[in-house]
Amino acid sequence: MWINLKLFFTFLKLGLVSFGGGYAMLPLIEHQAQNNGWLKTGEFGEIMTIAGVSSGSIAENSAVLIGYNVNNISGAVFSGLGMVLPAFTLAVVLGSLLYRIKNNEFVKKVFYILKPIIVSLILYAALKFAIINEIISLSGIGFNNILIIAVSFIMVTYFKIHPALIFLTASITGMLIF
Amino acid sequence: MKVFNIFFTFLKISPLIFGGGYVVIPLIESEIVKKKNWITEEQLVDIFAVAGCMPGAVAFNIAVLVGYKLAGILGAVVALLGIIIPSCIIVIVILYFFSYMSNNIFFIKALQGLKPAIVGLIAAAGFKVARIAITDISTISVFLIGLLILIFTNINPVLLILAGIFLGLSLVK
Repeated sequence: MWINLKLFFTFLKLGLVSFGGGYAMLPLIEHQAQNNGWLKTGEFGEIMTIAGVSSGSIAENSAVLIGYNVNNISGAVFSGLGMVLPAFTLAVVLGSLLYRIKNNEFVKKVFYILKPIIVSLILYAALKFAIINEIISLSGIGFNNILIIAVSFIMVTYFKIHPALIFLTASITGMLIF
Repeated sequence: MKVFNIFFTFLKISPLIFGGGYVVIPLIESEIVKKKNWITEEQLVDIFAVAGCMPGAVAFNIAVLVGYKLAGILGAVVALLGIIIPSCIIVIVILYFFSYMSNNIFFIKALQGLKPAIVGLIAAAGFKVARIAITDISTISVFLIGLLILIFTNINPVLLILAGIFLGLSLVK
């Protein structure tokens, strides 16, 4: 039980500072895991890869995997809960404020500026994902990749195809053309 | 009854969140705006803006905000559980199969096809928000400056968001 609490509070702490997206969190997670002796050198690389190819949040996935490594299912549950609790609490607080003061002049102006910034954050996330996964590199971008990017974009934007269907088709296409 | 409905909706979305959370935007749109009519697109874009400014995984934040909007605290809790439980189980299952999967040529190729599709979907999410967010010359400028700063400097996105909040507040007469 003691180890579960230790996991919980360690990831709670990490959850509090989890600004800037999953990949920015990984060095902090690695540092904590190694300080506590939860991982051997080199193990974090594998955890990171698995957390990245799996669905969900990479930071949450890393927390769950480390917790599982340390103390099985209960370790995974405590780590996972610790990691999401801070953002969850803040979301509920902000949510209750947002829906109440939405028409306030200050809130309107802040949103007017924040929304285009969110657009830059999203497009930057797309770019970063492409670079990390070597879809785009200094040597350019392959025709097959351009094709899959464009078709998925158009299918979801203009034809409202369900993303699940797009993922499935893209995976099958990948098996056929790469 | 609605609470169960919220839970199962996010449970369905969870396994499909690949590539950092923004993919949840078209998913939520399909499931919650189009199929169920629970909220409008405008409301959803406000939620994306708040979720993007918060710590934590953007997909989870969006789920919690939508859940809260639909059914208060209980809605927020079930939305969060719905969106995290499947992906947490999947990641542990993958832990056991990973060494097999990472050497399987079909899996590698499927992943190679999946990854560009994720890029397309994240871009589509950006485009979707852009259509509501970018309305005039000032918002275009904010967007472009923001993007250039992100690409060419190494600043923490939080600073960009804070700058945006201050800029917004300074516009109030």
